[in-house]
Amino acid sequence: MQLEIIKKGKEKPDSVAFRVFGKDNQVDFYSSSRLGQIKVTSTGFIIAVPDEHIGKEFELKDVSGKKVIASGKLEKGTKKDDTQN
Amino acid sequence: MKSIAGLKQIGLCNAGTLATAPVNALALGYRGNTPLKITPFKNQTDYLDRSLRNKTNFNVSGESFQGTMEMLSKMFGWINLNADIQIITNKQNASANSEDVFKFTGNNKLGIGFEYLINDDKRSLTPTFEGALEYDTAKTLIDAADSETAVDLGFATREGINKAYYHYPFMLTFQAPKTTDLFTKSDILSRELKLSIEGAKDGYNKLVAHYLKAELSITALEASISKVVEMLNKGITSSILWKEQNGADPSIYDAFDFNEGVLNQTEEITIDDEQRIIMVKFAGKIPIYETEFLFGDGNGGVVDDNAGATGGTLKIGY
Repeated sequence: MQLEIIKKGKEKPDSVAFRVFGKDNQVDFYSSSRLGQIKVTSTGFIIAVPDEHIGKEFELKDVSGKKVIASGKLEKGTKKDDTQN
Repeated sequence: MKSIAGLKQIGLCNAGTLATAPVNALALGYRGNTPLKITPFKNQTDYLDRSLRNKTNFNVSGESFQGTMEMLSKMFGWINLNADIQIITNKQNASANSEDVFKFTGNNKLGIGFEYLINDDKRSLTPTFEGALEYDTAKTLIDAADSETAVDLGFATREGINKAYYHYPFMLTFQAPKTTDLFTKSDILSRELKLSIEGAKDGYNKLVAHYLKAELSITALEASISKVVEMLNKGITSSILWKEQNGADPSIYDAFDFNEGVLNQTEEITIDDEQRIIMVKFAGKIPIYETEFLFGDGNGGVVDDNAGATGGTLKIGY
């Protein structure tokens, strides 16, 4: 699946890190913009996530300051606004 | 921008609990230099001396001066990949949450070995956490460090320092066999008890612990022929009791109780123009799980201490 997060906040992070949490809050999936796994667009971020993680909780963090930009449950075709305005 | 040196906290807890509710958390606290070293592992070199990537090794090792019986017993419980480890660097700038956080959990857990030492200089426990991860796995773990949120392991101080856990050397008993003091305390020149883990590394450079190696020695200035013969007359192996007092109360101590047959004795006598001494050594290896910790009143700890924070007894080879 592809998760698109629309960035509405004024500040655009230099680097973001994405985590999907599984059983017992373990990180089941990780990707980051620095590793070239997250596409940074003019409107936000596009993250490819294996379908096996659908239904799990995720969070996208601005690496600087570790602020959570977006979080929620992964659903197929997810398009979310960031939570930081 | 210059990076800031230092590790803020090196903490451990039971495997699988760091991400939820950490169980049995413990920090190295008062410690010596404990570098985190990340290096290539088993890179291959081609015919033109070009290094080809393989795994990446993580190694953290340093001496803790909070080597209580609680820490020692937890280390025994954590060998063979039974601990989650969290290493937090010092803040990289003035902002909150600017620490880097390395979490070694799940498939990325590190092997654990340790050396426990008592001598005239110190009482310490030096753990070594080590393991090699595939290059891309390692890259992901490193990349994640500056966006990881540190788990609060419940320590009262930032480094996990607890002044009650520090004990200076304080010889109480060195008996072999048990109930028989080897030397009069005032005649002892030096002494050392060293316990270390021995085993083999797996394919990921993680220690598989098989044995506890014990090396005890005591050097005395009382080396008369009569005393030397007394030592030579001792059995090749005997039960041994080493006790180290914790603070002012002699009923609070750390004890190491070796069964007969566990360690064998050797003797070295030196008579020269500088000294006349005798050194008695005891050494042997014990299968790692032939050990038992006893805590609480009568075993070196206070009544309600069932973890070994105040003191305890390690029985070996029974």
